[in-house]
Amino acid sequence: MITGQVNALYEAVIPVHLCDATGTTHQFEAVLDTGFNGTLTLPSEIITTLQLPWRTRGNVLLADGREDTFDIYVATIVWDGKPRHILVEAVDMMPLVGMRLLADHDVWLRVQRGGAVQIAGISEVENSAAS
Amino acid sequence: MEVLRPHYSRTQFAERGQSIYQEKVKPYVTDRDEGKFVAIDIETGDYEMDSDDYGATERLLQRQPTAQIWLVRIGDGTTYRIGGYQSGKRS
Repeated sequence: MITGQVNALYEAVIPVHLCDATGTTHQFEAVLDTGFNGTLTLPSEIITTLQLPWRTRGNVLLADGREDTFDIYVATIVWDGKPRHILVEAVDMMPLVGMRLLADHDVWLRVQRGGAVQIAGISEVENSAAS
Repeated sequence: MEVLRPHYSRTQFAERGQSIYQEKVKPYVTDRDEGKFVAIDIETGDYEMDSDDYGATERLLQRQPTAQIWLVRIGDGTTYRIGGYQSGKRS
């Protein structure tokens, strides 16, 4: 299970663990964003720090209705305790966790300052319910 | 694997990528493909489709290791949305 906290700005924040080019894992804070239908965004500063390889470009519809073209990189995230390759959009704001990373998981939020955030794989939840 | 870098401007990626999608991919898209990703090499016009965005690019790079990839999501006007919603705009 992945756990985080609702902060004073009412953002649901979780730790994400990403590998750099040498395989060393780095932890960053990321905000859950159900309005983002990708996997993860990272600011260019973190992409440079991790030396993530460029992979592709795509366009993104932003909250103000504008469309923009973004660079997309490959990252290795340790998610549910396992390394997984994902595509990451370079967006210069706090890292966002999108719905594609949350796919096949239950997300539980206590929406108050300091409230718990819990993310568990659906199979994990069903297995614990069955035992 | 060869280190990839973009060789074209963002505008060139978008224009060539969307043009190839409209001409070579969209005519063969079915309802079952909605939500899938299409990785398009804007130099050769080759493409791969997959339900996973990373998977689509990985499969294309196995055939075209130097591909300049434009990524499209079927059934929407953009590859991703970050809090942005427009009705009636589909690709």
